[in-house]
Amino acid sequence: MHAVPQQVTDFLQQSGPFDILDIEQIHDIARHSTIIYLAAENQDEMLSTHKDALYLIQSGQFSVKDCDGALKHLSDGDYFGYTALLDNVSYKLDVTVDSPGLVLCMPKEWFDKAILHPKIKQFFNAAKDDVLQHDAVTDSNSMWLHKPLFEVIETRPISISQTETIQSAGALMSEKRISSLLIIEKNQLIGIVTDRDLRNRVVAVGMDMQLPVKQIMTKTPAYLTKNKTLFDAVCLMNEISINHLPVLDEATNAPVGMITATDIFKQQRNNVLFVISDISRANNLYELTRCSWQLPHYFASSAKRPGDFDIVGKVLSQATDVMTRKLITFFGQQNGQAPMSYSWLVYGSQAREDQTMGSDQDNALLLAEEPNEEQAVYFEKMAKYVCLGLGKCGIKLCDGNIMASNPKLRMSLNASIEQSKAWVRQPTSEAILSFNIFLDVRSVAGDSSLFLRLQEERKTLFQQSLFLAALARQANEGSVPLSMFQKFVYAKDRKVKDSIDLKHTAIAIINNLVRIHALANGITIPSTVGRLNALPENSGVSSEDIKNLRDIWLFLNRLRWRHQLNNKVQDNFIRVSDLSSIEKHQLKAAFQAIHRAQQTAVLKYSGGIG
Amino acid sequence: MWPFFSKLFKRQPTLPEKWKLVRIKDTPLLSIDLELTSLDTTIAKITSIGWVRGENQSIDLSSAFYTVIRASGDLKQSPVIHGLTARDLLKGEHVKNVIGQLQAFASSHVWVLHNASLDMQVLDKVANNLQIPEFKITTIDTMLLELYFLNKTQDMLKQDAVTLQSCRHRHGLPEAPNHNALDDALATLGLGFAQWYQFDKQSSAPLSDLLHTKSVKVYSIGKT
Repeated sequence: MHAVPQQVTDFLQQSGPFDILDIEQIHDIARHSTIIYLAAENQDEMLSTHKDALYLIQSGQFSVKDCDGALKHLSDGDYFGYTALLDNVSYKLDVTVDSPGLVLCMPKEWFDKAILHPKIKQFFNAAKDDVLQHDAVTDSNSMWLHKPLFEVIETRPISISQTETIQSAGALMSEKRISSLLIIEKNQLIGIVTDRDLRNRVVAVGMDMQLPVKQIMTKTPAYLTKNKTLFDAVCLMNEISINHLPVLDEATNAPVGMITATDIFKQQRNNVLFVISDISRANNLYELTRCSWQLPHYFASSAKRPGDFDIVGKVLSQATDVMTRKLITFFGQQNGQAPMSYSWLVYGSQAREDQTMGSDQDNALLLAEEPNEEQAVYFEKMAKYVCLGLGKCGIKLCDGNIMASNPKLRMSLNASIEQSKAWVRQPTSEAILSFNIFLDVRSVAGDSSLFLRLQEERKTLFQQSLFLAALARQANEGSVPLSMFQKFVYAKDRKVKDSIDLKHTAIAIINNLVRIHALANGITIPSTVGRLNALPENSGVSSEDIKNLRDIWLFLNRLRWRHQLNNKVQDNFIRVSDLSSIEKHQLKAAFQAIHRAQQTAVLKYSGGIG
Repeated sequence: MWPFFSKLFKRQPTLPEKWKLVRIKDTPLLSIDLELTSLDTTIAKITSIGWVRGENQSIDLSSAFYTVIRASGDLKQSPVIHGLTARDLLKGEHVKNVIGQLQAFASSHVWVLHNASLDMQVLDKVANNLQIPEFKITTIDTMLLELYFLNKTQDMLKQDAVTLQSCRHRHGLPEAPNHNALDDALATLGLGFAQWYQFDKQSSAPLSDLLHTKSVKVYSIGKT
């Protein structure tokens, strides 16, 4: 009787998107396919005999140019020929056989049947357009959190002048059916009035409604700029307990809209964020450590859905921020006010908001001026208290001693600026390795204006072309774990054989590249996704590339998170055997895209001198 | 001297006329494997048969065939290895029906096997039992061809050097699941393609060129 060899069924099920077909469909495809032995000497004859097919490589190595696309080096598990099938025309396939092998030819008729399945069609379309399949990202439940605010704000801000009466403000809110109003003067935000203000400050105390609205408005309210994400909005609103958050243009500071709790609840489908509110309610170190130790447990039990992975890094970073602020407050309660203004800075993953449960703390203190002996003692005590406190909360102490408790990392503003100048003067490869981490930085507590001054001073410094060239060359030194023929290169000396170091050989490379684009464009925000969102149109990076890098970055982090949760580990070594066959292809596509982005950056910033 | 030559002739029966000048590449091939209850050909019974056809370095998967052979008598241990239960074997096809199909392939195709002599001896025994008149099968043995390659380069061979898996591995072919007649037949044909490519990259050589490798043999099956 007719039968399908098991090895053919296995091969189709393990290859690309076909694993989602049911077994009958797989058998149908198998029965109508041909396996050829493709060698340099017979390829012309073979490819014309078996034209109009999808070619799935079982063994051997081939260099293929599909229509006018780029040359691709392919080996087992890869495909070619789909461009012609999708476009419904016959292209001349340009194949060089580097090492002969078996290739399964799936006739067009059966390929066409398979792509009736939307996921399979999407897969090959993405492969054709050479983009990472966005499925992993768009399917996510939490993607909305990464939306920049300007994408979320629907209507223009509704505002009123501060000299208008309270009554007219109430009438406007009633007419527009809104619960808050922006108070604007010369196109700048000066205050906000909410339903609650009308209730508490007017009705409850019997205030005259003909008085100007400025009498009851909240002056200089908290706000975010429109390039921030919904996630930032949720965190801020949670932390300071507000329901209305004005959104301003980052360049002109002109109000562009308002985000309300209702907007967020409309989008929100899960509650992974509310762990932060618990932490912000802690009243002492004991309560704080108790809540903080819930975090890993909390993630393991409630962030199991695939979509949750995208935001856990952000949640952890925000949680660490809140812990830091809490600890500084506790310290102040016990030791009195700081003797001068300071800013608590965080670096690396916490700054970029891609912290994992295995990340250690990286922080520093920026001081307004050189402290005298007594002042120095205060900050030393504070740094030790906070760093040890974070340690108690489960944020590991830094092995490399990049912590405010290290006296070298408690610097005055002037000393910090001098240090940055030294970096720019001598950006050797070794120096870059040690100061790279300091280029992703955020102020999470204290006087942020101090930090802004530092940023302002450094902005043009870091835009110097020789400096950027050195960074680009350095970023090009790391290589993605793919061989010439697109096979995964596994990490050495690991117990699990098929491990890939996702952090150092992929995610860090994207971070490095995006950092260079950000510095070149004077963007000071540290998060990789934030930087990508903020790149201006004339940045020289195409919007396609920006979107692609963002998706890849999220995809990789998501794989890492799933690995850490499922395997109950804190390392960055994902296992290829844990991946579905689509994910394996996506991962290869992601690595290839990172490699291209490295080359582009070297060309752009170092004139091609790698 | 003379007996030596006569022995040599017997071992190398001449190729049938129709295959003599045909290029390997143009030869219609039937890759076949029999699963047996024992490696001892005097008691071995066939439990299943699988085959697939190919030509010109292409394998036509629509030709893939597999059947379980109806059992009688002692099954020994082999069916356990092949994943067949005694129940499967009772439901199987009668070997007589399958032999009928194979007779047709004997003249139309050159057969490809890994270790042909074992399967041919068992087939011969079955055909004799069924009183089937003699027919000839031309075979290419991928195991013997591999030995030919290995003997050219190595003095000592490890015991498992020419198992189907080791041979495939040596030619850079992927692992194939073991011990299913159809899968082994398919794996054997893939191996054959790789070997013939190594033997003659231009694939212009006639089948008779393979004779000196001792991998091509003609077997006489059935009642003489």
